Amino acid sequence: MPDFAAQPPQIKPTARGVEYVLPQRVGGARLGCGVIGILFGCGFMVPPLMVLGMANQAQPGQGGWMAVLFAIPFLAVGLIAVCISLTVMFGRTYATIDDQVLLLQFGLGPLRFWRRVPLTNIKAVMLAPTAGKRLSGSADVSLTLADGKTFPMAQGLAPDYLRPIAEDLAARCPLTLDDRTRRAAADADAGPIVPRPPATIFRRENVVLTPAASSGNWLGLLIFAVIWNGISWTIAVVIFTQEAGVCPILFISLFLLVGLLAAAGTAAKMLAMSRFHPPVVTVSVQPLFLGEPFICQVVQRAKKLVQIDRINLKLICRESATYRSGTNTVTVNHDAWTAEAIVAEGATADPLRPIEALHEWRIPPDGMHTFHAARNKIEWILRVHTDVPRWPDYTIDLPLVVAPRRHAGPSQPQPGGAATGKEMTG
Amino acid sequence: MATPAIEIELDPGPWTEGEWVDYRLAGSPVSGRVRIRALEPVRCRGVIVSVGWHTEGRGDTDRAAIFEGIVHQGELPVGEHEFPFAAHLPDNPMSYTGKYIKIVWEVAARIDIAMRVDPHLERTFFVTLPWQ
Repeated sequence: MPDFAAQPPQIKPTARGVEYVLPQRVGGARLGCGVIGILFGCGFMVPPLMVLGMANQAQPGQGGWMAVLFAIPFLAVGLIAVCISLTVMFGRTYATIDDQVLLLQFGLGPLRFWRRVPLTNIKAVMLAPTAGKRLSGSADVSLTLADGKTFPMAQGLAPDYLRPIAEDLAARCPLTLDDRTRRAAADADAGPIVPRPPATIFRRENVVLTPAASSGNWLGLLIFAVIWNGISWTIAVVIFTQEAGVCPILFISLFLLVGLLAAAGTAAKMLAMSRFHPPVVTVSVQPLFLGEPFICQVVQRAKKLVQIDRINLKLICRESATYRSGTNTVTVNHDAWTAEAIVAEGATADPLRPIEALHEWRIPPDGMHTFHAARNKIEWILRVHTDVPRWPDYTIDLPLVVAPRRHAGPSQPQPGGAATGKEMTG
Repeated sequence: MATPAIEIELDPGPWTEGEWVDYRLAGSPVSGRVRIRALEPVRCRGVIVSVGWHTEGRGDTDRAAIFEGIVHQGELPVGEHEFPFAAHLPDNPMSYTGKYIKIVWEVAARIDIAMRVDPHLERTFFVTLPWQ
């Protein structure tokens, strides 16, 4: 019996696209993994509960704050394991596609793991039979990104359910590099090369930029800070109370310092987010061309009445190069070109009246287009930094796409520019 | 066995003046010929010509070939041999020189010789973008 559910996916229209809610797979593998995860999580919570119980017995009513400090990180890990296991067992996949982004969510109720993929970053959408005898007759949809990495979008479901989703998604993605490269190679073998006009690049006006997927890393930092501080402070208290000497104190101080920095970073991010919603940034056209002027509109909404010093806008062309150094993988970044602007100085925002600002930029005509490879990237980023007096600032990076095309201006410059290594102007 | 001499010549591009001679437009054809001068018979499996780009700089190398073909198979006799090639450049990437990343387009010719280091030659050219 095929291991996939019989219900078709639910299709829900959204304001700018469509949401597919995929049916839940019924299978022994998911249940088995989930049960193991729950057992692991519960097992992880037993020792700290025992310690708490013993501490309460030894000092009834007082509990023992050291025991509590010890128990917190283990309880946190156990609860997280249980929640993840329940999600694996009973969670569903949601695929929300709009005109810019594919939002993939997998979760149960409010607990969702999500991944945001810009449609311009999708190289291929593949529908293929699921490997493995138990799932014969079912299919998987996987996505290949511009950097060559592949990840699954949906697995082990009826091909007739997945095909419309895969076709819808593929139709919304702009023409990819690989298609053009493959056709060029095929044409090269087919006879005389005939010049042909450049491919049409489809553009959209008044596009709302969405943050990169890495913007949620602060949640990982929060979890790390809780676990690190719980364990290191517990050990530190034991060392201090037992008067272990200078060396152990110095040693544990390093760990405490790391924990405090992590906690401070998380606290700053949470404080900044407590006053502001993410800014809504709209650009006049996407993708942009080299040398093209464009207008960006920033709408900064506040959760409560707040006065800001300014909003700093920064347009960045960034090189990112990744290399292996021994067993480590290192990524270095260099801002090859930047331009800054200050808008909305001394403005005030409240929940009903957001701060709005407009600014005109121009992509340098001798610049470089967006480029993604497995280990080297050239990206265009618009950074919005809201400067709040006596409060952590709020910063968000929004990726822009600059297409490989020059904007036809009043005079056509000579070739060269980025190829020659001269500093970008404009 | 004397190493054969390899030469790569590109057909003229859209610009013929000075430093722009080696520039080609993305999306346009690039063609030329590979000349091999053999002073003695070359026992090789074949001559391979490829057109593609690779990255240089701080990061590990990424590369892609948009054209790769065996223009000759078997032994190369004494004398001068000419092998034409042609390929259609994709729309991107264009050539780029930055601090950490450099994108280099090149035509590469290699003589595939068994149990020896293959003689090879690369000829760099620049790809720039057309106007919309």
